[in-house]
Amino acid sequence: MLIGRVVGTVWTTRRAPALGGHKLLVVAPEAWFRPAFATGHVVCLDVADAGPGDHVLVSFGDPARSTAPAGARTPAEAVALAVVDGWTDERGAHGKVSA
Amino acid sequence: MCSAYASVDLPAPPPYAPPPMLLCRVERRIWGTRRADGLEGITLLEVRPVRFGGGDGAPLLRYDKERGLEPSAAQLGDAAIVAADRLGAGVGELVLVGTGSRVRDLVFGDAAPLKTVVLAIVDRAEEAPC
Repeated sequence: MLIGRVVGTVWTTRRAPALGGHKLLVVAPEAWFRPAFATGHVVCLDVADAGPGDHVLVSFGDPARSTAPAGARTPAEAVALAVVDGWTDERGAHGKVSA
Repeated sequence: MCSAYASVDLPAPPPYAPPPMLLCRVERRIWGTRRADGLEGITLLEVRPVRFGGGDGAPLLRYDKERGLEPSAAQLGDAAIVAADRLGAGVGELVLVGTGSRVRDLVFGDAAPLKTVVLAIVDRAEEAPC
């Protein structure tokens, strides 16, 4: 799981049928295991109704896809599960709510 | 808070691991007559990840099917990966790529000997101002 900020949106019409009509988000991780690919982003399926600028909690793999409405048959590896209001780390408080 | 993931120092993942789902541009098609069983009807594409968040003051990345990738192809990562496609993506198009055996099972079936799959062809993508 990671916390990231929604930095973009994606529109598609031709997609794998099992993917359904879900919104796709481009998320820039706030703290990432240092990526081997300098992508600066991960794309995830949106089940939390997030928008650009929101911070989201992104989960990966089987547990994540089972939260999508089509469940385990959704061919997505990353899902935005929750909109994050705030969090704290060694640099202090972040997000909309300060702790 | 434009900078992403720069501050935390954690071990690097294996060098072959791309993020589980990412946007890539199709660089070229790969074909061959002798292939592994299970690859019939599947097109292999060399794709290059798109790099979001070029830095403070960098122009925002945008893509649409007519105009292509803006501001330039410099927004692409260095490493290329090979993805399997059944949707008919063309060179220069932006695609959503997913990685993993479960995604492969759901899109191609479990007989296909690959793990990187084109899930969607992108019509439009925009980096949001922060």
